[in-house]
Amino acid sequence: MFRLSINASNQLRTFEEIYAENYARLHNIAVRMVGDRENASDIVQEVFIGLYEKLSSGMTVLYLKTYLYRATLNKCFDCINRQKRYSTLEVVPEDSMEDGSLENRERKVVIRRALSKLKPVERAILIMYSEDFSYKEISDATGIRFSSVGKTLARTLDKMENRLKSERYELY
Amino acid sequence: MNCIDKDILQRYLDGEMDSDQKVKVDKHLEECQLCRIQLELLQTRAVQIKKVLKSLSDKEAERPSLSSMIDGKLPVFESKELQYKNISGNGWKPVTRLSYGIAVACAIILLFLYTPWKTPGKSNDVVQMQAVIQEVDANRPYSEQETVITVINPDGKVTYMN
Repeated sequence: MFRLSINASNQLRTFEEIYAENYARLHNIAVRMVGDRENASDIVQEVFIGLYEKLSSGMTVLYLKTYLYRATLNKCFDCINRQKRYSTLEVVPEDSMEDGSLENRERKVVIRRALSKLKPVERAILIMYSEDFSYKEISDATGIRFSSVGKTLARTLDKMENRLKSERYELY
Repeated sequence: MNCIDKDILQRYLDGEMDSDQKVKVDKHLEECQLCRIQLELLQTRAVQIKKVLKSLSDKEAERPSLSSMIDGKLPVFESKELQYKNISGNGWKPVTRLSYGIAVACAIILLFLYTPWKTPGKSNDVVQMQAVIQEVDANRPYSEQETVITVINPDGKVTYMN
């Protein structure tokens, strides 16, 4: 039997509950980070398998959410590095080929292109910010110093705004 | 007063500022129209960029079943009081572990103190000094060379001479 101490609440939790509670949000982050659903699903699956193995070997995870987000982002960084290494052509993400109007698809491609020009850590900050995470949570998950989050975020928002402008995307 | 930096306004906007700093920024914003406009722009930008990023994954992710992912029995997490069992791996609480540790350390110290260490006694070894005097004459064959070996014991007596 596995045991876990959960910081905020002291409730009995099953692995299934934790999986159900966190899967969608982690998947959303991974999709935005790596650009396609298939890779994102693999990443989130690996994260949960990793957690399962960790717990089954008797280790304790004290800050479960931080662990999950950090592990997901680290795997996303690895995936981005692999993508950079092995792809020379600009691939239109599979996600943007899904059903929807042509305009909508084009819009997604433009946003992805702008996002892909940011550094992986900057991308992570922006994506977590868009998910309304606090600066503390962003700092814990990305490894950036808490005192630097505001500055880095402001700079990254500037960059993203400029990238979207250069792609002729109308933000306002 | 100088205008406020963008990153400070960003923190103000996100509510990530301590109360003292917030009072200062509030006061400045009351006086400075430029910063008020800047804040408004930052707010609009933040809302728009959040919206843009959210639109990238607007579809609900299909969650694969856990059984297909992990075979075997699923774990159940128990409450906080049991966390020590996992950290130590042997089921002892830190206080118990500490007291056992101190007991073992004391036992080792006592064992060390009462061990009958072998004291260095008088040695029976005979110390002898020896000197080899060999005069080498390069013009004579080696078989005809003469070697004198003198061995002297600690009392200064010559015990062997050749």
